[in-house]
Amino acid sequence: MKSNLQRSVVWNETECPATVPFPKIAIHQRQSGVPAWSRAAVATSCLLATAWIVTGIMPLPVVDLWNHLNQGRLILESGSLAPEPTRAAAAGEYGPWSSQIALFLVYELAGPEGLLIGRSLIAAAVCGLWLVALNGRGVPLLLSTGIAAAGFVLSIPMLGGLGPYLIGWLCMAILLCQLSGKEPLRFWHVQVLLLFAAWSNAHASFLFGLAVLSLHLAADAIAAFKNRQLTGNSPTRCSFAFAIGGFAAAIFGSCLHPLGPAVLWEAGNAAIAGQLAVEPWAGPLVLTSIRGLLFFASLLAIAWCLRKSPRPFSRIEIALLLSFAAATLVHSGMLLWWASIWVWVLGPHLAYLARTAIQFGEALERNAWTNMLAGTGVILIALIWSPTSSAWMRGTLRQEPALLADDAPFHFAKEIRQQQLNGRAFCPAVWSDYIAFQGGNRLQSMVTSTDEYAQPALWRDYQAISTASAAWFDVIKFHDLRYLVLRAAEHAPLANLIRRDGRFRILYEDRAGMIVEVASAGESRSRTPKR
Amino acid sequence: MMSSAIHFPSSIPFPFFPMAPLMTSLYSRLLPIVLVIAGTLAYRATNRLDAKPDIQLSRNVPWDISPRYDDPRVVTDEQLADVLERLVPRRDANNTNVWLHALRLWGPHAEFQSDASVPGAELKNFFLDDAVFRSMVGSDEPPLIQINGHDARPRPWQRWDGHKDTSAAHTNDILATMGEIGTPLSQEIVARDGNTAVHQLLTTALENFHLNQLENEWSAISYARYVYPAQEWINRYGQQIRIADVVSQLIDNPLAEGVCSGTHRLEALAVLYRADEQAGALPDRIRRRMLKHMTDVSVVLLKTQHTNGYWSRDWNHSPAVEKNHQNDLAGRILATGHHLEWLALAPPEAQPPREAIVRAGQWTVRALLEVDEETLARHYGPFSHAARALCLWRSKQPYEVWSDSRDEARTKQLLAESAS
Repeated sequence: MKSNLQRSVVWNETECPATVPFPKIAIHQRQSGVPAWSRAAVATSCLLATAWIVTGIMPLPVVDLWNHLNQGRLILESGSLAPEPTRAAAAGEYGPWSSQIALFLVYELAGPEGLLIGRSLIAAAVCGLWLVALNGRGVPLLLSTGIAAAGFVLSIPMLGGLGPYLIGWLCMAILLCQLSGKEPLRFWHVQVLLLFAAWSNAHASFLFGLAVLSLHLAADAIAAFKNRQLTGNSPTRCSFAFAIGGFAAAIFGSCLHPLGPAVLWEAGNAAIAGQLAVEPWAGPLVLTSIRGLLFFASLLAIAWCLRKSPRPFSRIEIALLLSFAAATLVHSGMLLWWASIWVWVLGPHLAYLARTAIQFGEALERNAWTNMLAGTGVILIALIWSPTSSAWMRGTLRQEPALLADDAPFHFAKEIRQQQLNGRAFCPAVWSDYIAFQGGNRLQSMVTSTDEYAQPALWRDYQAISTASAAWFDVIKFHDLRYLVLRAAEHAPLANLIRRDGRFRILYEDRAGMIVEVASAGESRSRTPKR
Repeated sequence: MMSSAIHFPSSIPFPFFPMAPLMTSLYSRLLPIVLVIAGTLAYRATNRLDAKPDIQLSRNVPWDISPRYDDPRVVTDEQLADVLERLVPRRDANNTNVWLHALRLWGPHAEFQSDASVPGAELKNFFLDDAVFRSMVGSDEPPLIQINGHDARPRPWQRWDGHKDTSAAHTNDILATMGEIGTPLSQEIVARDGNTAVHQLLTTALENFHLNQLENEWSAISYARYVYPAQEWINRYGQQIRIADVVSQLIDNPLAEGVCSGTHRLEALAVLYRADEQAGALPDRIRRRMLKHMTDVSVVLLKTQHTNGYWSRDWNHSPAVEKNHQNDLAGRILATGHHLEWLALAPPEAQPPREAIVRAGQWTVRALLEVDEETLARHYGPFSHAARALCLWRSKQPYEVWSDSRDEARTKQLLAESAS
């Protein structure tokens, strides 16, 4: 069986004969017993350290994360995957319940600093897994580090968020590792099954994984079929069996979800509704944005490789690049998955190009204990420079406001708790998740951050209030809104109207916005309003 | 990844010799991890030793922010005395904000020799002693200084509050005024709920300060007078507030937006700049930025000054676009008085031509002398700012000017009587 499995991935070598073997870069040990590292190992330390620091200095996002934390809390409190008052999964919709629970448990156990550490760990782990995957594709460590660094830079615009998509990103990196070895790993099918079982419950991006796996296995089987025609051997049946077995394991694993097989359909629906991507509100890719610039720079790198690389692009590589590039163009939230595919596909090509450009000298391969010290020092510096790990090391964890993005409505949630505001409210979509979670779900926000896609009619009403259109007060009455939470950056005209309108009273105000009460709705309240 | 070229020197005796290869391999793998852990522990120990309190206060007495100029062209001695005569605080004002402005103008040592007026000591104790507060506004009013556990803060103004006249009109304005009249942090406050001190008002203000705070002007002034040269503190939400953050908040807002048309932010800048001339602890970059902003505002003021010498509330636009509802005397007094006030503390580099100040000063004098009693009583705050600004431009204490003019008048009267 093993020999058949070996043949099943033979396309990798037949299409890409390595004319000159890469020098093997590894961590060696000097005769003295003091561990010695190569420069490649130091470079790897630098990559992981960079990933750690960059993700560590990013604040907690305001959007999305808090919705998932809220869902996780409600699922645990209610014991149901369709907890009230949320709508997710109530109608059999797809929900990333396991990662929501995981996020909430991390928040409960380690606080917001724990979430940041988790993000840094995932980012560093993905970089490490990319190195493993590239190593599996025959790329030496030093070059892998450079390519993974480029992939990480490509991912940075999407790492400002924090949510189940990061777990999906990690799962994709694991999948790419599973697809990269010259020989399949032991219990490969079982591993695929387990991966997809975890992935489908964690994030809807398992559909991307299924697509990548299907393309890979199909290409694999076709290559084996062609190989049989060329060589006269007959491994085809086994290769087909391997491919079908892998696909079946992935499908079966994916269906190990509370929704059962319907998860495939529901996750697809979620994708069509725009919720599959990292940030549903991200929209199409714009060239002038940082995401756009990075994406088109990555396309230029592909074009350069196509022109220069002595190694031809395989069909599966072209298919993956085309499909994920198209998806990223349509939705910039796909940039994270594009980065993974880009690294995995382009890695060997860039490595070959770099091999011809750079003459690897012995010096690069020389292991030294000083390299070990340098690598260790880099890791230590990263731990100290990253505010998150630094706080853990000092034993003085920072409070939530110090970790939040500047426009987070921390003081609004505090006031909602202190003034015990209850009822339906108009909240800015970008604040609604945070206010719902930190306000203890007292205020039921008119919309959430994803309703632009999920509920267009409701979103139109939200816009009517938000822009202070002609019938804005009627919409408030229609939705029986008791409070309005206004964001200064978004609702300045509405805030000016409300200040002059006797039907409202301001309960709290700061530079970021204000909380107002619709006066007629609160006449019976005896509480003295705060300024 | 790691090839283990196992080596163990046979010449060295080792108690677990059969385990030697394994131990060496473990050693080579674990050494980097051990190094990182050792570094982590060293970092933790070092930072524990260097741990600082959240708020460092090095002064008990606030910085003395003295005026810079003495120019009789802006206001003559006689004009100043006449102006101040109109602003003697009346006992029937019954408003915390009026008395705070009166205390700020006259100081705690003023004596007016009239039962209808409130002396400076009583004005000061109005804010520091609940018995005096109740005697002046009535026993039914809720306490002005509220103590809640560790916190001590003035009762905030609320639009729908029936007792808003006796509350603090602005965030930390009482604390800033205490700093302006030189009250030490150790000064005791006898509140209704117990005793506290000005120090506790300050720490509560600093702990609650955040970068989205609606009114930050008086917090910044309090910081400049009491806390500076401390460069940063950590508020109760764990946020590190740096001096650069405070300065940015004062500078980055739209010019005429905010309380009193944004002029208190300029005052806070001028006070901090003046305090730094004594402490010399501001980073050059921040000091230059402050100076540039004050200079830029002076340029704007020069362009927007009315030919009569005043500025309107909408002072960042030319007088031609002055809005109708802002075209009132109180609004002009508010803007002109506040601008003259911060300019009196601002460095010479940030000054507009003196002619502009003289015109503004003379217009202010005329306005203060000609305004009717009702308007003056209703807008005592802006008028007191204007009077204080005139005193600053003569580098004189209001009470001394008023007292000297009274003595002079009495002497003249005695001489006249003796002559007759």
